[in-house]
Amino acid sequence: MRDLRDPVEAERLGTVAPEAFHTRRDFLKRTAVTAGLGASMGLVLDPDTLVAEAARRQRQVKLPSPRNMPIDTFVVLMMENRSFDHYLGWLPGADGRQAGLEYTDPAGHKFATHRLRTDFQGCAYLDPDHSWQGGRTELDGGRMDGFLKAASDVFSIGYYTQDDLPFTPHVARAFTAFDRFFCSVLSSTYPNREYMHAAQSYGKTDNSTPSGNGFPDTTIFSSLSKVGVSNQYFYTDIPVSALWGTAGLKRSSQVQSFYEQAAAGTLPALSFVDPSFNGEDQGTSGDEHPHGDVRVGQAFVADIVHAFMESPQYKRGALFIVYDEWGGFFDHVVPPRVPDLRTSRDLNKDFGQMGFRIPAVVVSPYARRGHVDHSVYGFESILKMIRYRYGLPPLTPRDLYANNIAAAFDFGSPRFTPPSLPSPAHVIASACSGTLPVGSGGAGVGVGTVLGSPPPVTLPSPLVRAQERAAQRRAARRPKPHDLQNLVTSGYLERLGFHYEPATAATMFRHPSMVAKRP
Amino acid sequence: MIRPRARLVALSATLMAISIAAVARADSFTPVTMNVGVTPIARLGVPLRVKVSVRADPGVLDTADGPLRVKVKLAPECGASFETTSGVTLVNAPLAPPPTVGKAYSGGASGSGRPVAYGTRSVCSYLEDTGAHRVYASDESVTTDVTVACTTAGRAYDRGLRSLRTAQRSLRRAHTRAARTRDRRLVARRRRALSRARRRGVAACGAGVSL
Repeated sequence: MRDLRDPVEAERLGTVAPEAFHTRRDFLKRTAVTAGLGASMGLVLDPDTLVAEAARRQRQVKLPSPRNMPIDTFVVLMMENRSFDHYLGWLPGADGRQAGLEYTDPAGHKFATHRLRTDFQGCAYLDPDHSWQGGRTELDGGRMDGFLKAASDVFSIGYYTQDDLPFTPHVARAFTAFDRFFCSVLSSTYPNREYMHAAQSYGKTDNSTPSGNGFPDTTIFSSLSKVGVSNQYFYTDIPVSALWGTAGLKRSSQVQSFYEQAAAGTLPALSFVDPSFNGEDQGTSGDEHPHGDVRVGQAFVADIVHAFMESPQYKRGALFIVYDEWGGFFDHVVPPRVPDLRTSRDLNKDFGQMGFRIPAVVVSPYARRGHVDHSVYGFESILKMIRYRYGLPPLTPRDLYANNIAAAFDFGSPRFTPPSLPSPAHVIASACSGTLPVGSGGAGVGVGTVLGSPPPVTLPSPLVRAQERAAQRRAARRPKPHDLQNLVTSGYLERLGFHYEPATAATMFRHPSMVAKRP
Repeated sequence: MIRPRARLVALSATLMAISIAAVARADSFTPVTMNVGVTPIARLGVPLRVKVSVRADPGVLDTADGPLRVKVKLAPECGASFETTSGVTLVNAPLAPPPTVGKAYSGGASGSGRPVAYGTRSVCSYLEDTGAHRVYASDESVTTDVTVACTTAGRAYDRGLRSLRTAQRSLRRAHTRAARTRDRRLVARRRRALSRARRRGVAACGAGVSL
């Protein structure tokens, strides 16, 4: 190669290609012009703005454009009824509180938060209040002190530590956990699951089924289908998608299909996965809802996560593990009010009032490892990321204004080798004593898979023991099927032509043979 | 034919315009944006200025229950809203100018507050309406570090400035030639000391922190 510093060669290039050839003087001139422009912009803009903008650019990684976003397989796994402090209040780097909090019951007695240790069902207690009104009682105008003033007992102020749960602590520490993830609406299962699918609950504040053929299909699934993007809903026993009638059922498959498609690398662009809801009082439901055994749900979460991490689609995927609502369990962070389709100044009518925090974790090669994200998110934030990726219009004002959860990812430095996570035993507990079986004809995982009663609860004080006895009396009188059981018992599913079958170990788990047998 | 220099100037200007427009414009995926201007390093006990620019797509602020306010707190952790965040209030001001119905918005608010503790603090910014305190936008991404080094260097600069002013006052009041000569030397010495303190302050605090 010729030396460009050679004056003869420089003269030749200057003659042959004057536009392509820069003399040293040209180069200096152009550099000076560029520097001058930069300096003049520096004079025009406020120094604070420049400094802050520079600092912000250092901290924030710009989102890749939708087409360049390296994620094209989204999975949302929604479990049931746990709050952030109750499950993850111990998480290092997160805004969590567990021991040392005190709550007052309506009689004025004070109770301290206590560790639940090995009480995985809470049979002795009420299912904590997590209704529209109960949530507002617990919120208590932002004081967050009403967890014993609603229709709840001391179970609602119990918590699990890192050593108590077999899977969630591990996945939360391995990937990115969120400590400002609020359930979308301060209410129960149905409205929150409706927000997860459609960014609204169609004006419903409770667990009532829609009239006729279900809600209009304004879900994220429908939006994706309109632009030709694949999507599927996976259920274990009761399909929540039935709330959108036959349109919802058409996109539904049994969870075993999820395992198969994950293994084959044929998962759709969007998958929602739900656990088994039925069999709470038998301790066999797989959704972690009281009074099911949380270990069953933990095993189910582990199965879904492992299936996802072992899938060829993991390298371009993101799995969100969320809980539908706080389940009446205590939390100390006040949820915000946000823009919504149905807002009101009156808190009792305001759908913009978000619910309490829930445990939320994202599993992805692009998730920061061992990280806690502190931005405010809701279920609509996940919808927003999916919309961003596939260029979809907003479903409602809720997801229009929401923060895009894609901001929590680190797209610049993926780690494709999954971390080592445990595979907890598929433990199935026994039914809560004194409860009536749900009317499903032996619903649950089935005889022969029961390991026995959980170990006794460690109670913090005599007052708590008294409360426990009272709660036992109440619980004994109260059959408590999951609210989604209404879809079965009301004949709603049958009207839609869906044949309900209770979940079994074979339909719940990826490797049913791993379910421990009664000795 | 465009000369290379002219082409470069045009290209630079265009790029600059595009980048400013990108900063300035909200889009359909982020209908309301908040840009928080604050220095990355701050002094303890000295007003920390914050400037918040808000931009919104047409109509997205029309549903507010009352006038919108920009609210900013300096806190160890951001809550989900201004009221539920514990910390020093930096801004609590109405959005100026107020939004016009159906129009795109560009405006903001500014203010200041005194940091009360050392350490990295989040600048928790919220755009809320005054009716239901509904959060239209929030930003928790900006932090500022209240450092001992910057505070110490800033205090040294303040002391140097006070000393210089005392010396200057003394020089103005000097009546004898000997006193004037002495005070002139003193002023020059203190100017040099102040200049050194400023350099140390800039090194410790970075540009933008008021010294």
